[in-house]
Amino acid sequence: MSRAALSIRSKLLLLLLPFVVAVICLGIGRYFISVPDTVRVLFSPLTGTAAEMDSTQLSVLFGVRLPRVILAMFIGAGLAVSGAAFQGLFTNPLATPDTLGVASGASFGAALALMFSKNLLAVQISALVFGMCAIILTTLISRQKGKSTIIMVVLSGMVVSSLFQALVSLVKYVADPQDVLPSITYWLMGSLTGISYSSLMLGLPFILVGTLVIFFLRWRLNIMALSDDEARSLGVNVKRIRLMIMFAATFVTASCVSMCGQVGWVGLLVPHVARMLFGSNNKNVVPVSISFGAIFLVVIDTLARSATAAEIPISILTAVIGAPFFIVLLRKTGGTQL
Amino acid sequence: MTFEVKNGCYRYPGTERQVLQNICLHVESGKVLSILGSNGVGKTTLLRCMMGMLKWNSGESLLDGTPLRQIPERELWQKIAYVPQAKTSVFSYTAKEMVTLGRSAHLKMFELPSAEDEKLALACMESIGILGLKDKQCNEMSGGELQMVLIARAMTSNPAMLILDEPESNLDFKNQLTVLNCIQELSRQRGISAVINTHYPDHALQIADDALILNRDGTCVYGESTEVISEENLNRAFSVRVCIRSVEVENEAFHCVIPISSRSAAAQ
Repeated sequence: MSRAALSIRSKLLLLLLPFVVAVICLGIGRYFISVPDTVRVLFSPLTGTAAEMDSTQLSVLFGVRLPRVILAMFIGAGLAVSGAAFQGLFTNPLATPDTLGVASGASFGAALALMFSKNLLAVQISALVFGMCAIILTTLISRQKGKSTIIMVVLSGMVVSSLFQALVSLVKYVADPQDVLPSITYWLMGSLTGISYSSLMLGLPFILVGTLVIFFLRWRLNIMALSDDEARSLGVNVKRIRLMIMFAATFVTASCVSMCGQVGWVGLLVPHVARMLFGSNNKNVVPVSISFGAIFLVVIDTLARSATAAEIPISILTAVIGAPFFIVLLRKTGGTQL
Repeated sequence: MTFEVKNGCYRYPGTERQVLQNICLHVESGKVLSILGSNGVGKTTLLRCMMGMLKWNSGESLLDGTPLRQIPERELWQKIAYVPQAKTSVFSYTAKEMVTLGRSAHLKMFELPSAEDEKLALACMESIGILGLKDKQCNEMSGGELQMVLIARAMTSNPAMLILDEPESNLDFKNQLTVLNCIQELSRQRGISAVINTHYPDHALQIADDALILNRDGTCVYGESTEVISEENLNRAFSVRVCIRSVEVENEAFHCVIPISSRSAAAQ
């Protein structure tokens, strides 16, 4: 339980660990590839030895698993960091993309766009717009006399979330049951299957940019825990920073949702683990969340695709692990802080 | 440094009561001004108006002769530091992290505090004698400890003036003394001026050079603390009959304000 600043060694470890886990997970699946083989095949295009490699291994790694593992890393890191950002922003341990209604808003935006076009960019933008609507709504409802209590934020998040879920149901109701409905339903369950490099290229930059903004503002996030007067008297433009972080976190959430549906719990679980290990300083919480989030989702997704013969939707697995954790958290903090 | 308020008036929008009326005050380097008044009379409002967090309806605050609103925020907060009432928050930071936050005004938006900033934070903690708290969680501290941490945080920006909102309420005897002595030392030894809100006339007499008593009707009595904090003025502001006695202990004069009886409204 070290609460001091991260040492160089742990920083290096945080940076490398997701990649190590990714390489190991790349080999796991119905067609097993050993770690040395995985590394050799992965680097073969760079060393110009691709022709000498086993063609099955090549196509399994590059055609199927690599885009999926990359996606899992980004989604995990993105959802975890936006969870950390929302928690810091609202000074609320329960604020996450799911509880604030951002994920539902983005889902509605994405579902709405899916009804008219399959263009991922359109889906992303629509998800972002409605994600923003949701977070603004939640903020407005929960703010009374310039202050919002933890319980008000959670309650208004619930209301906004169920509003947008109803709208999603409406979209499903009017969608064409032959073609559009199955794709919306399947996508909503959250899956990383069948991602292509071209859609990766379209979605990942959004997640990357949002994550970087939060990463570089991470120390400022600490100040959001203080009262407005206090923060202002520290020479901080509270409004601007709050808006920037809110926008960045919504940006990340919306991209994640439009690429693989609602994957719950990551934004709650990972930042809390980070806080338990390294204290509440967001200077540590944000990078640790990014790293652990990537690891967490890569591992979960590997389980989802290889634990049973048929693929398990990933949101089921995150909930199965997330819910018990949440209960423990509630029991631990319930009396004093909520 | 001189800080001035000229003819400040304030009324909350949508309400009738004139909270502050024609407030004039003047603080020089190394001087301590205390603001007294009964609960809800507008002491905190006065501080917020002074610092520009609320806008005066008329009148203005001046720092070295320049109106506050003409000074860029970051520059302003490098000269003035605000110490709020100690409150715990949901996420707990260590004292060192909390004190380091005070360097915010000196850093750019995306900048992180450097090793220099952290060293400075520790130096500030050492200078007011709380270095031992550096790794303690703020949520696990006593009120007095947390208040001292907040003062250290304010000191990191090397301000010319401290503004403290009831720094010694909710503290026990000893902690009150620690906080008051700390303010007194900062002003006497380093020439930092201080404006403090307080509930205790005794404390004002003890450490303040000047005093300002806010009345219910928004007017104030302002002047040297020994003159302003008189039986008559306190009587009017607090509706309490008091008597002030001076006691000499070990060659030092201490003033005590003894409340005799609360005056009923009819007796006015």
